[in-house]
Amino acid sequence: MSNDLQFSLDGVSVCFEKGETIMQAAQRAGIYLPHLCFHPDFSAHGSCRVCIVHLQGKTVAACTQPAESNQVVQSNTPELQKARLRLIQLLFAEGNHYCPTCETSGNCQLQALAYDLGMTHYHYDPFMPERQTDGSHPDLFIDRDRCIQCDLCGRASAEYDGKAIYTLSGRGQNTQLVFRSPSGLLGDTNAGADDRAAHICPVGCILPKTGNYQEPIGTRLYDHHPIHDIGNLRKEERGGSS
Amino acid sequence: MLKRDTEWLVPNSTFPDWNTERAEQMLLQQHPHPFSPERILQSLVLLQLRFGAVTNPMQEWLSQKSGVALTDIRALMSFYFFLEQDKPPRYHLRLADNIVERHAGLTSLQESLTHRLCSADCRIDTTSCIGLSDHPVSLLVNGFPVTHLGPHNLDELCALIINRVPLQKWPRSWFAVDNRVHHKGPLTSYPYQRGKALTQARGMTGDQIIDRIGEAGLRGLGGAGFPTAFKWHWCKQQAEPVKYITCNADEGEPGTFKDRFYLTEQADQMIEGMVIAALAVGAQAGFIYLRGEYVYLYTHLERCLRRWRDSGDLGQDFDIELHLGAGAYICGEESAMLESLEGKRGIPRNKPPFPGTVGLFGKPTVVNNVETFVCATYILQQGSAAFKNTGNEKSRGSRLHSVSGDCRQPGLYELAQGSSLRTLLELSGAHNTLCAQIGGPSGALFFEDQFDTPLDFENPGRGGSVMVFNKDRSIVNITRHFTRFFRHESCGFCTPCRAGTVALDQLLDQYEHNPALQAKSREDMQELVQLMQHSSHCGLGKTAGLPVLNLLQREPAHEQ
Ligand SMILES: Cc1cc2nc3c(=O)[nH]c(=O)nc-3n(C[C@H](O)[C@H](O)[C@H](O)COP(=O)(O)O)c2cc1C
Ligand code: SF4
Ligand code: SF4
Ligand code: SF4
Repeated sequence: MSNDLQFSLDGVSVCFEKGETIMQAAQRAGIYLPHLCFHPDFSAHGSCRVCIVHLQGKTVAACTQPAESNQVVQSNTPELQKARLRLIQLLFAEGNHYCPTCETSGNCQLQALAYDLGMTHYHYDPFMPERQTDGSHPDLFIDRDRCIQCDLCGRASAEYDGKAIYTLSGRGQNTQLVFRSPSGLLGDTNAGADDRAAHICPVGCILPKTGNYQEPIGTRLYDHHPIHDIGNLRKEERGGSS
Repeated sequence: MLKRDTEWLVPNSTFPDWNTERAEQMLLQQHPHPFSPERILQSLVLLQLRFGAVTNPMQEWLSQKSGVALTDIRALMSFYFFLEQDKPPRYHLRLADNIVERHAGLTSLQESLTHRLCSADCRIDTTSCIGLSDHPVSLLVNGFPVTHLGPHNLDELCALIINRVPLQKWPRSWFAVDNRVHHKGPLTSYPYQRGKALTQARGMTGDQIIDRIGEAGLRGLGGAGFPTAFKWHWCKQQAEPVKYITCNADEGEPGTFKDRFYLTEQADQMIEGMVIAALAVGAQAGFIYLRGEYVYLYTHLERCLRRWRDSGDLGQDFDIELHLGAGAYICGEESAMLESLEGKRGIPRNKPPFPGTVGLFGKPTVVNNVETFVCATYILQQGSAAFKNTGNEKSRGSRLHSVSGDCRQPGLYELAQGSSLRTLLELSGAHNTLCAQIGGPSGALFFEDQFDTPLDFENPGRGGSVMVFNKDRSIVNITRHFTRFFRHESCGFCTPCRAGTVALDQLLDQYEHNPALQAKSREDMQELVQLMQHSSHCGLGKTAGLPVLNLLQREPAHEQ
């Protein structure tokens, strides 16, 4: 690889391939940039904004910003970590997140980032949304109050499963997860419990109906490893890293 | 050639019953492929206009005909606030809720309307600015504008509604929109000769046309002030042979109505500018994205387009299609507009790539504001020098300002770029002025000590629209109003804007009503606005906090 294809990330020189984003290059180099809506297997979205970095005077999302030679990028600064903390707090305030009762607690990427960024309180007044749950599917349960509108399920469903079942509807604070069936219920789609989409959610919005709460709290993934060490892992991805 | 029959698109109070045959016939009159996925939004808008709502059975029918999932149709309905699924009452009143109309008595008018019409066959609600803040209080009745509602005609309005008088029989003067230009300049008074600029352009190469525009120093008048020649040049350079020209007539910025003037009075110059742009970059198709609030101009624009087709200037190598928005401010953002033109929810795209490289349907696309195209025609007809010689070094030419609020003569004023705000205030008879909002809520707020600031591309707000506030007005109220506007119009894609606009609104409430927490809310707001400015995905979220910053600057923290 030619030597001109590199940029500086927090003072470390990172190589990239043409067409790669800052996030992709950082991941290949083993550098963790905090994120929620990004997943290496799917197209970038750029909606959570947690991966914001400084790029020569501008703030950009690392997951959508093309890497370029000789760029100087800062990520791990107190200012950016504070901004990320506030974004995470906005996501908490916007939904209804009662972690102690949530099956995903300990395996949840939102919660893990909150710990990592030192979140101790909501900071913003909770919005207390009232979004509908959906229990129509035999194997899956949907708690929309935990959805962070990242569209990972939508992308996994369209780009990997080839089913295009999950998508987002509405506008502004009324944006919400919906399913492509005439009734709008997940149970009336051909969603499968083994679909990639059913396992991609970074939070506890798409849940299996059975086998829950078997893993004791305290032994779960992020109970032992900070997310900046092991990355945005899902239960079934624990071998690899993302 | 289609006979685009929109004779039914007039103020109406009784909508015909829907049936599939009637609906299909109407849609086919407007477009040969009304059921293709990218036309689906336009078909929804047309059904809404024709039948007053897009009810569930209509959505199901459209889904069946087009193969677009019902869920996606519902997703469109829930994004575009003018699309409604409930069968409409006989009258639907949408009061324009801009701060200027609030100052003109909107709240008490709305209360008395709601009170007096509670058992009438009507619905009353509000919508964001409808581009008529020089005619306060204005409203849309079944989609058509009624201007100057006030205590003087409130009784009559209520009587008309209670007595179920058809809209066609309402006083015609109520629907009148005054488009006088109170101070004319070159753009609004030169002896335009239809087709002359285009003939000029036909004798030139694309590069020569672009050079002309570049020599004139034309910069886009839709907000960002980006050099137009550069945009066109970039698009022309792309190897991809299919290219598009799009005209942004979404004019959603509250307090702005200059495009309303051009669309009504000088539409030919806009269309000619688009044809010139097409010649310059080598585009085959063009689109005008007209905001839903301006649907009353739809038939007029179709007629103008038809005349250009009749004269052979449109329809062969290049044709223009008219698209309607449906109540979403974000669709004025260029990439959201492209999404909307493709029939989707108006979510701004990631940039880069910019529209000049990957635009409509993935093809290189020019996006310009209405006034920018009007200027292009002016430049080609009158010469680059004529344009360049007005204005100042970095902002050439002149532009039309929309003036509203506390002044004797709200309306349109054309001034050379770089004229001072003070000049504009004097011309419009503003008095006892506290401050003026330049360029809409996403622009800048100027106080007395800034009145000599030139209105041009180099200064905050960049001109274009001015809302005047006198010394009786409350900055907190103005700020709250603008903040709510952004909250209402956020597309919901990204965290800092979707959740941030709500949190900001909450904090502002706390700041205003909880003195004990004022210092804290102040600090929190400052931090949140900065977060939104830096981390938002598009211009809406980046600017949504500016009114709050203005307020905080104006009200310095009290020493504790
Ligand atoms: C939230 C938002 C709303 C906008 N609304 C409009 C609009 O209503 N009309 C417009 O011409 N430009 C609008 N713009 C600017 C467009 O994105 C784009 O810059 C412009 O249409 C380009 O045309 P110009 O180069 O001729 O100025 C908006 C931008 C943002 C971020
Ligand atoms: S989804 Fe995550 S943050 Fe939300 S309640 Fe569950 S564990 Fe907590
Ligand atoms: S359900 Fe989960 S994956 Fe899908 S949009 Fe919501 S948070 Fe993202
Ligand atoms: S900044 Fe606001 S309007 Fe723009 S993409 Fe984000 S949520 Fe949508």
